[in-house]
Amino acid sequence: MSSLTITTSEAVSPPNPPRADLHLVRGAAVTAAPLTGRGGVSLGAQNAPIGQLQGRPTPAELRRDKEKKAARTERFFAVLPWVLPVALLLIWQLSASQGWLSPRFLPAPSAVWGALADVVHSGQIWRDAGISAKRALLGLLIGGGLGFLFGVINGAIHLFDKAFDTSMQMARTIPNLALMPLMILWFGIGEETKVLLVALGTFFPLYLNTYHGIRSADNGLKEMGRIYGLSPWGLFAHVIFPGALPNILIGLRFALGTMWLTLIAAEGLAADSGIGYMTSTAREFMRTDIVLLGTLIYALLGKGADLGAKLLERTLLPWHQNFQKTARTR
Amino acid sequence: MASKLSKNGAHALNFSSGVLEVAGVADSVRDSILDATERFPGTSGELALENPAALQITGLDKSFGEREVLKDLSLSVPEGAFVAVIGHSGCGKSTLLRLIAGLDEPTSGEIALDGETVSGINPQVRVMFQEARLLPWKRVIDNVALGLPRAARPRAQGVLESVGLGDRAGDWPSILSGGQRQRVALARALAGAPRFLLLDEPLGALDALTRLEMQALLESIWQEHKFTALLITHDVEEAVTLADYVVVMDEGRFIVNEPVPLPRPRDHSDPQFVEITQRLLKQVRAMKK
Ligand SMILES: Nc1ncnc2c1ncn2[C@@H]1O[C@H](COP(=O)(O)OP(=O)(O)OP(=O)(O)O)[C@@H](O)[C@H]1O
Ligand SMILES: [Mg+2]
Repeated sequence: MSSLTITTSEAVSPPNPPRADLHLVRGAAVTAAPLTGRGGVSLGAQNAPIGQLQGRPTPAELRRDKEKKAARTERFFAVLPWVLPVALLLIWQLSASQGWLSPRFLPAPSAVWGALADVVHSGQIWRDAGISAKRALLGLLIGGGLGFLFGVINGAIHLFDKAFDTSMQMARTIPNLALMPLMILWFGIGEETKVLLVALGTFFPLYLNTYHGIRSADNGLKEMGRIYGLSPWGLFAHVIFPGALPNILIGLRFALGTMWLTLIAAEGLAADSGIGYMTSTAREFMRTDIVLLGTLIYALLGKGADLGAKLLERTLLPWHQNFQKTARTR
Repeated sequence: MASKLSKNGAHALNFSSGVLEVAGVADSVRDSILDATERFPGTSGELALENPAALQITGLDKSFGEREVLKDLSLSVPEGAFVAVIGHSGCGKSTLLRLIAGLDEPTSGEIALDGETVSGINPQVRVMFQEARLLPWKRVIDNVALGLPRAARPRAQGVLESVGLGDRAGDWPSILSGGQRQRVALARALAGAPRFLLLDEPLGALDALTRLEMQALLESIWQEHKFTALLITHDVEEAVTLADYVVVMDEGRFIVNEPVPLPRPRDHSDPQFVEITQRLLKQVRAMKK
């Protein structure tokens, strides 16, 4: 190891002769001075390679050190985000096993793990998670799809904008969950209720963002497109829509958020299957572990959806600055 | 009055906006206009009829609501000429260019390109703006090929090479420098082999060195492709470097038409170049209030 990376403990026996780079060993020199009396220098002299003894590190060594340092920083930042969650988990487990937390209030992580093993073993989890995911995606497909469609139409065609946008803006002020009682009256607790509520919840984020994206298309670019003889359709396909895509994908991310939110609420009140149903039943039986498990599964499904959206952004917006860190190919 | 000016007889720029009737034009300006007409005695008006103008503007007016922006403009530009328009900010230069490009309609008067009245977009006309206006989501080559029929796409690579960016075809526009973006915009304008190129301060946002490079590029490309060019610029020296005629505009009127009968590429230290530049600068300053 060269002098650049010496740590304090090694510094006790600095391998460098006094004339070595001062800034490299200054810390060592200060801390080591009172301690070295007992042969720090001679120890170092025995261990250190001759080349280092006789001067500064070579450029190659410096470069290698720099790379090592960079790799270490990278590893540090890869681990850092997980420090807090893991610490919390450990504290939680400790508090539960020490009896500081009642299992009714918060069962130990291991208990939640056990509950997971149970539901996985019985196959219930696959059924419920599958049903929830299906409702979520179906609702998103219907609501988000329509929101996207209306956003495009109202954004691009003046007549439709005039005819519908005001109504849309009024309708969007109604929280979709406020319609739940009505939905239950109409459809009972069947699939329609949940899917429709999710559809309503995902419609507006996509509608609003698509509409806004289309409307805020760059006038300079539109004018340029006209000069280059693009037809109205060509203008839409080459200029307006690609420019709106980042906004549309933001709408999708928002929609994914309301999608799970709506589903959790709807499944808790009006369902006989699904993760929401599983947790609300567990609540009645005071199975806090299963309730926690359900929460966790929602978090995972939500994270999965978010990752999907990110992946979509990466594939659809390769030109976007945010994803262009490695775009300079030549 | 019409001051008919010629450059080696082939190019004749007819300029008839009642120059001397313009109210409020300083005497010094009037004098220098007279100077100019004396120094470059015009040929007779008949020549323009034998050799019909590529761009003919007659009695052009444009108002936005109450505001009269262009007032009775007339200009005729021979085919293949390079005309520069200078004038203070807000005097109506961009408005004029938009009318020629068919992006807007005149209030009265007429613009004709190759004898045909402009109405709407014309594929023979391409425009370059101060911003490159490249589509960020299309690679450089696809930007150049915008609006080209599929069969003509191979041309795109050719023009990209002629502006010196043949090796950047696959890049995203966002990683190009400002000058490179303008060169892509130029390539895109040239790809359709237009007969008219309108340039609205295309070099305005570039640094001095890049400007000079781009001026040289523009000149060589204009000489090669032989289109008729109309350049709007704030830079008098740039106008004199590139143009066959420099037209000065003030409050929606043409007040000066200065021919530049110098060999190309022009030498900025040539006494005649300096003289013309100085005269134009004087005129531009004189009309400032
Ligand atoms: N669409 C419009 N509606 C109303 N007024 C306009 C419009 N376009 C231009 N104008 C007005 O016309 C006048 C001339 O504008 P123009 O853009 O042609 O100036 P310019 O000579 O190009 O100036 P600059 O050198 O700053 O670009 C300005 O007063 C401007 O406010
Ligand atoms: Mg302008």
